[in-house]
Amino acid sequence: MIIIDCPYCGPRDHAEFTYVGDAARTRPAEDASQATWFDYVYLRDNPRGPHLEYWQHSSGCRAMVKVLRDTSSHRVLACGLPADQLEAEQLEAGHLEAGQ
Amino acid sequence: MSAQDRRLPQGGEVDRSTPMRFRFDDRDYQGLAGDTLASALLANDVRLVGRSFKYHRPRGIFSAGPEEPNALVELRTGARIEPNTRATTIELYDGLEAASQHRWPSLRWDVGEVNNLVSDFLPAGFYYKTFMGWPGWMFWEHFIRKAAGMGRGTLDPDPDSYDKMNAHCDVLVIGGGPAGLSAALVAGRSGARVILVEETDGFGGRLRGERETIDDKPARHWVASTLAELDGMGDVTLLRRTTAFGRYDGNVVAALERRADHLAEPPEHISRQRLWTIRARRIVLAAGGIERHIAFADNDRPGVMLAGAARTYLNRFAVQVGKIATVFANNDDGYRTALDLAAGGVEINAIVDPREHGGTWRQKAETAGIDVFAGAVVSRAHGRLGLVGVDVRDASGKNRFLASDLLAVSGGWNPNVHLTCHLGAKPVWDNALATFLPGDTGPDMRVAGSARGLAGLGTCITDGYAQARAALDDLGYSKSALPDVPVTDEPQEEPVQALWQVPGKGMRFVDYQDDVKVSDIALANREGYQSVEHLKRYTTLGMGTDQGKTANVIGLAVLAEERGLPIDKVGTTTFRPPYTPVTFGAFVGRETGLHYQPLRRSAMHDWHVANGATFVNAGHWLRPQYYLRDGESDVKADIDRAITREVTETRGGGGIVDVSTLGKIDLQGPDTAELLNRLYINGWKTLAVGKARYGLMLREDGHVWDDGTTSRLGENHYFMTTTTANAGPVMSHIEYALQVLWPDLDVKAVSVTEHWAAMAIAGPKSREALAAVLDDVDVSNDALPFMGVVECTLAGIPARVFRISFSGELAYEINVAADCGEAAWEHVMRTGAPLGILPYGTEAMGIMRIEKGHVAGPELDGRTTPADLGLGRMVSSKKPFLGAPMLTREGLTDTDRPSLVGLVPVDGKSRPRAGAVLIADPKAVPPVDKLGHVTSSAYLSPNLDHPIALGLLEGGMAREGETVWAAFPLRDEMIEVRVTGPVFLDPDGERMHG
Amino acid sequence: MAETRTLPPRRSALVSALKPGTFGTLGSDGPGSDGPGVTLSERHPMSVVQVEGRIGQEAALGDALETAIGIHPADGFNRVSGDEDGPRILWVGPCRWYVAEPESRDLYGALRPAMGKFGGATVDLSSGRTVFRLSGHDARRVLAKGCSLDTHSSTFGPGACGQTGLFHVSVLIACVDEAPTYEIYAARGYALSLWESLVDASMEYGLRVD
Repeated sequence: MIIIDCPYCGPRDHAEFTYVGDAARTRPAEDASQATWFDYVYLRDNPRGPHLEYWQHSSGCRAMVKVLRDTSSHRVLACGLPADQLEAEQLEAGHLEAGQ
Repeated sequence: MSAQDRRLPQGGEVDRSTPMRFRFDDRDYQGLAGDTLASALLANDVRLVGRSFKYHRPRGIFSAGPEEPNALVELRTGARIEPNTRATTIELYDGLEAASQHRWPSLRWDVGEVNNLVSDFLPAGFYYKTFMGWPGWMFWEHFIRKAAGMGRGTLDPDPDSYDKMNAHCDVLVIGGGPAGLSAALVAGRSGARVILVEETDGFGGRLRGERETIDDKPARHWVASTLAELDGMGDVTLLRRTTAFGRYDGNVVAALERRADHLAEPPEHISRQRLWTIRARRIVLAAGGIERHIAFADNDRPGVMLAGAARTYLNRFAVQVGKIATVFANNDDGYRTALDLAAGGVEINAIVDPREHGGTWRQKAETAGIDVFAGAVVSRAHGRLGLVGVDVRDASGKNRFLASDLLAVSGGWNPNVHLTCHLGAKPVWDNALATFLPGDTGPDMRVAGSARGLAGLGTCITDGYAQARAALDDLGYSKSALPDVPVTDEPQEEPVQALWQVPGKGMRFVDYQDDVKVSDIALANREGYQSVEHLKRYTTLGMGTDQGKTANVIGLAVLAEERGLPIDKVGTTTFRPPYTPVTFGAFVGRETGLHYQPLRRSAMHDWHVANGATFVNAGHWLRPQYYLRDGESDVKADIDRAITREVTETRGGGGIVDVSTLGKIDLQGPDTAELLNRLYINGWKTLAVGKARYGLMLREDGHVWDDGTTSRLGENHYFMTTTTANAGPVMSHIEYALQVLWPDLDVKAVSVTEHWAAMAIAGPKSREALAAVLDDVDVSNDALPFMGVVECTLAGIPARVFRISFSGELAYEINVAADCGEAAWEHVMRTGAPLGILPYGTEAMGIMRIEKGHVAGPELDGRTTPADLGLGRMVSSKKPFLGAPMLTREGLTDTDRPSLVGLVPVDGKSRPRAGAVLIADPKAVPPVDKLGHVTSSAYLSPNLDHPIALGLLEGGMAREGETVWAAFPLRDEMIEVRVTGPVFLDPDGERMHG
Repeated sequence: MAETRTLPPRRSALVSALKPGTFGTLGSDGPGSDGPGVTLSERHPMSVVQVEGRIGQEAALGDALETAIGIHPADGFNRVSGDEDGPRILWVGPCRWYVAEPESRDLYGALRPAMGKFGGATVDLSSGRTVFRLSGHDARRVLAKGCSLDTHSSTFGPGACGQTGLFHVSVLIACVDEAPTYEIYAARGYALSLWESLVDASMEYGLRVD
């Protein structure tokens, strides 16, 4: 069980959430090159370690929650809203090392 | 009925006033309340309780707890039979029935024992080497399983119920022994929310089987007073008979509570077992230790028992497991056993101790008149069906025989590190303690007492206090005074001296349950299986239901000796959930039968039930598939007749179908049209208020995802419908768009699927019917044209009416609040009766949409583009939309892509099956080039009087008039079909627009 | 003034299942008791209207609600204001609330103009939600069987609400009083399934259906 700290509802079981996708990618401009779009649609980094992803609190408040999760330990390192800059903050605070 | 002649007249936790009858292998016995099956059998001097898995060696009870490798029995009978149950953990109840396993025809005379005589031919890896070749393991497995036996299960349904519980706490304490009780006490006094789980039926842990004192009183007084205090705390939950069997991500612990396993049958409405999911902020693991044995020749004879277990049977159950005992121990705890047994009236031959020097404990033993053979070992046990004596080899190598019916063995204690391993922490070898200690469990789990290698009662209690305090500090609970450290009576202990095996001839067992011997490990090493992980798989060491609780460390140590390396250079041991076996029923819980999954019913469900509907599952929804009339039954001819009737009468007059399951999304806000423009491939800025439009959505990869109509109800108010299957995903997609992609758009999206009941009236008489059912509404073609929307009332019920059509007929969809759905439906049926309006189900709906070439789920299969479906002209080139950039890539614009066609059988009667592959030549030898496939198929178009189908075919409409073959090799079907346009009926849409 | 709609008769989703009476093992709520551990009923008909503004419009929306129905949303997320007999406002998402009350007027009609003043959305969900009332000594245990929400009184006392799954059905649960009593809002289509699960889960504690 992964426990995700919804910014609105607090810590909840991951069973209340639906995995939405990789939060590290940004949707390209409509007129971006086909190669850029191909990367966006198909290519994922699949890192071992911290990974930014969206989980929707689908059985809860419906918020898209940005989650920084360590893929090697399943440890949730940080949670926030889509506009939040989780990774930079966490790296600065040194939480990533503690989480590994 | 045999007497309990091994039972002492007094002492123990058993209740002599409550005898319990039980039956083991067709013999009746009597035990006492408070017994386990093991203690009751031992009280009746039953020593032989099973046969070993591979060699069918006679085996006896070896332990007094969940680590038991030998005494596995079939418990109960009939539908409640449960194989491989540990006799040491089964609480005795009146009428209990159990049987031994792995023997035929009887426990004393077992033909399988011949394996014992030919054991040289059954070495480690024997099964792999012998049976993996021709004709293969799958062939041999059947016979091997039969010979080996794993106990019998049942194919009958389980008559009992199971349940689940969710729990949250600040501190979860696992283990109700001295360290666990003291940890719970400190945590409880701080005001924290505490859950304490204890595997057995009572608290106290090993104190239940000891004669120790705390504060000069028997230790049970301390247990009772601690428990009383905990019981009185509002936020402390005490769970007895509950095994924490797994620790998972998020510091979640799964625990199995056996609510009724100690009873013949669960009381009414009470689940037999409950699966607890406990979300703990901090865990204190106080799981104690597990004693280990020593591998010497024939160390599996019934009567060879762990020393602590012999002590437990005496002290807790008042059972003398032997009359004349020898104790073989490399540590001081064995002396405690010897002294307790002596005090309990057992004659002690000697303590055999490989250590030359002793300390306080040895002096105590000698003072009590017990011989100590220092520097000596037990080299062999004698007695096939029960121990008669042991060979003792002294320091000079001389052997002597000691007649004994009990050999109490202690090779030291392993901290019970099982749950520390589940999240990946590896146990760490400690040379001084000659054992593995818990690895780094992180701050969320702290280990207390003997589970982390501490010895001594006072030390463990103090450690419980300290670990709980540290956990509370993490959580910010204010410091409070720790309880006083109780006074215990504990002589100083001398260090253990590692001893894993004693050289000698005969089978020297390391893992009893899997029949793994020292020689098997040596062989594995010689054959190159030197990694612990390889060793385990090659020899099956630790692979039994006990997960090698008594065996793994010895196995590793023997491997280290074989390789001439220190233990920590050879590897470590690990454990995976579950700690002890968990029945599938507990994982299923209540989710069986009626509660297998939640069902979703439309507002008109009860009407459908009352009017002959047969239902089909669409996700969780139950939808009417067709309606049978009086005199019809659920047989093919009647079903076909019903479906044909529903199509024919709808096209000929009028029909009504429940479409409540379609997804419905209410969209409000000034940017809604812009959002729709970005979601759909077609344009939305020109849609007028009071009008509906068909829309198609793509995924970002350019493939079609979903379709439906969206209506404009007001200036900034829209109402979207989706397919039934995609109602949830489309809603989430819109939320993703609004929260992540375009948070600047002002649109509020709400799923209203459940609020609106929806029904479609279709057929040439539908306008007439609609005029009759609505309250004073002009429904003429001018007032309510195709794709028009009107808000009105129906028998006083507010309604929204949409003139849209899936059937290709003149049709209207009526939405009313769901609580009024059945009333509205009945009103339509009543008012429409003179016009012949009848209900139709999903089968008729499917046939009618195939007749019209309308695409649905089978065509929107995630691999098709708008052009593939003949909808290419909908794609707007004037605006960006989701999926547009990828839609223009080469592979998606290839004109050779399979596209939508109609298919009719050339013979006019064969039905091409959905999923059939379209090929050019029926006689071609595979592999055959595939031209496409059949997507949807109707067994009969009542309007055309032959089967029809839709398909995706290379070349598409360019092949119109050609014939291809629909091949379905699984059913050996090959049907010649002619390619037609996908619209079989009314291609100009005159009916719909009329 | 809002136009007043006439309220047509409404049919509960539980018509076929709801049978008043006592069921299961009575007397489980302590020695000397012969009562049920839980009582279960449906609140019907209820008006349930969702109101929503843009994030940042919370104050304006709250003021508009106060003007329209006399109560203001509670501060913070996952909180309820109002009471069981009159209107109450339950937080369901960022700048999003349910306004609910036993049906007595056209609540949707009353709220729509108030929300419209600042561009807020008003959506009638009255028929889309079935509202259960679960109360009693063992109510928390019944919830714990199918729900992972922490309903302990220290975190989920009166005034708290939360959305979660209950027996695999998405629900909004609000704590009404310390009995404890809970109001459970579930999608109408799942109401019968959820009812069956709640009844089954309550049997061991003894159940009274009102």
